[in-house]
Amino acid sequence: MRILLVEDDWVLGDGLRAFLRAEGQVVDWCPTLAQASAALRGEPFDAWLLDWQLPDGSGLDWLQARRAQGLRTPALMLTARETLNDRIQGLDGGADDYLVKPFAPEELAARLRACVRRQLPSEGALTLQGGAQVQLQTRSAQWQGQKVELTAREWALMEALLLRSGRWVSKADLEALALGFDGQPASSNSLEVHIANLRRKLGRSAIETLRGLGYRCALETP
Amino acid sequence: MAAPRSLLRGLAWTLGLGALVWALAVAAAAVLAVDEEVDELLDDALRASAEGLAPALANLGPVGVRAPSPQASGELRYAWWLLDAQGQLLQQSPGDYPALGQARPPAGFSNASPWRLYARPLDQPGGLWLVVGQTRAERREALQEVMWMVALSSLGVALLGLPLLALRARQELRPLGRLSERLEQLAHEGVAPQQLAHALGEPERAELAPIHRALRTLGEHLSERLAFERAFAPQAAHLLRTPLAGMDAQLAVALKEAAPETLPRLRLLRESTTRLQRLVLALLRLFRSEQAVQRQWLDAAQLLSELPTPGLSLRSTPGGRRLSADPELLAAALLNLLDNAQRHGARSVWLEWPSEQCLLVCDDGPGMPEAERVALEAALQDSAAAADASGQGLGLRLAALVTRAHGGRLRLPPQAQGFAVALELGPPHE
Repeated sequence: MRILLVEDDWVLGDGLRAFLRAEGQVVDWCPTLAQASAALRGEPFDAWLLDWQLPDGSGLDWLQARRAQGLRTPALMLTARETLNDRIQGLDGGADDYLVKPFAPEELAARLRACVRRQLPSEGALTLQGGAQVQLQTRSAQWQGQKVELTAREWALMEALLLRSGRWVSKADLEALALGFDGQPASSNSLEVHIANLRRKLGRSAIETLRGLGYRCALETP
Repeated sequence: MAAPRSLLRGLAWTLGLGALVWALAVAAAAVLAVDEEVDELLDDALRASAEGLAPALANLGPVGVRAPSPQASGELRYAWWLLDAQGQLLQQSPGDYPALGQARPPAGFSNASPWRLYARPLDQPGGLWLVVGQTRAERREALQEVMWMVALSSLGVALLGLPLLALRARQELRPLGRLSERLEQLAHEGVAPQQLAHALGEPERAELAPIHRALRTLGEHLSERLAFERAFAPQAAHLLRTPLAGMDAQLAVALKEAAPETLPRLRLLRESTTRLQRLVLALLRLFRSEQAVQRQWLDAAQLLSELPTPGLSLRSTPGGRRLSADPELLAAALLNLLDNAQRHGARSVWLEWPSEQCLLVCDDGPGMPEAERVALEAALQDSAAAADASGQGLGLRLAALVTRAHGGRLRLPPQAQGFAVALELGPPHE
């Protein structure tokens, strides 16, 4: 998953970025709303993590403006505001979840997964074309009755594709969504290498390729 | 604390005593005033008697000496004597009374024990004198009757007037009672301090106006303070919460990246951060007046077992009950009690449930001298004293604040061994 983190506190922002990267997420950390808006113009994101009180405005106002533009990316508010009214205001303002500081980063990661999971076509194990089964919550996969081990990058690719299942994802977008854990751009052929590994582990038909459009992960209809 | 003195009772006593003193004073004044008047009236009556008797006795003709007539004629108020020019008794009124006791009194009024006398010559040849007398005892009796009548009348008026005065006092105090009831009602309704003056309305009596003014001023001060607190609290919360979250996030990353030999230290550090978070959250909640305690039913033994307590063994008696409490506040209180126990040499801590909504935290430490324990408990139950207390009991003070926030109190029951803290958490929500 590619996550936009908007947090002005350096220690917290850096800690969350490092923690989520270690969990296999791609994190773009912006300390201001202006930078967050700029990041949105260039990159696709699977989730937004938003502080409420930022140096150049209210994270909630920013979120409401994005919702008004029709953007439906899952958003999780991170804030020190803890009253019932604050929570109601945050959730009514467009947030999908609300986490009061201080929080354990493990809980944040779990809530983030839960938020994103709601975008999936169904809860539980998903069956890919060819019969492979994956479960994003537990990060477990099976093919031909055998448990399959996927690396963090391979899971990131699977998540990016499954969140857009049935749709074609360009190579550039897929690289942006799933690669570059250490903040460095992916090498020219690393995506192809990871896709090849996924096909080897989950079957060739698990991921389709169409020249000019990109990659697609189709689910088997029950 | 003893019940305060009743204003009405005090007023009733004052009015009662005042009425009594007033009655006595009126009686004394009346006595002083009538004493002389009674004398004059009785003297007038004495002279009138003499003037009335004189014509009848003057017509007796030549008078010989007659023996006094000793027969009683009922209660004697006056007596008369007929004397010759030398003062020899010729005749006297019938009755048994003391003798005149002197030859002949001078003309006019005179005193001769036990008599008050009035003497005048009769218009008759031979120089006869008529003396009319009244015993002084009789005069005193008359005066006393007057005094008693005046005193009893005054007392009667006072006693009859007392209930009326008490009723009036009660009526006049009613506005004060209504003000108290209204204030209690407003407190129950949770009226905002800035609305207090408006909600109270106009004072019913001039004497209540200063109270209204004082309450209005107090309301204004409280609203200013609340406004400041409302502005300050979110900033303080933000400033405290964000670094805590940052510390925890950094430690979580460090735990992922750390070499195996540094993992125990990092875990201890993260436990301390968690503990610090709990304390900060509890303090923020305790000192934000607009935020009520967020009660829920919880298992205190489970809560205790989830707290970081390095170096202490924890246990709880079987059949632990559920308590209605704010988990964050209770966790902060328990953390402080565990910290206290450890710092004072305890090795083991256990929970007991002496009654509903009461949690007893006991340890096997050295305990505390009895006098010190009693003094500390008294200080903790007195919020002002607890606020001024220094040194020992910082953790206990926070625990006491937590119990007070729940509508309960903290006690330090005596122990044969070790130390115990009873957290009485007040009744659960209806």
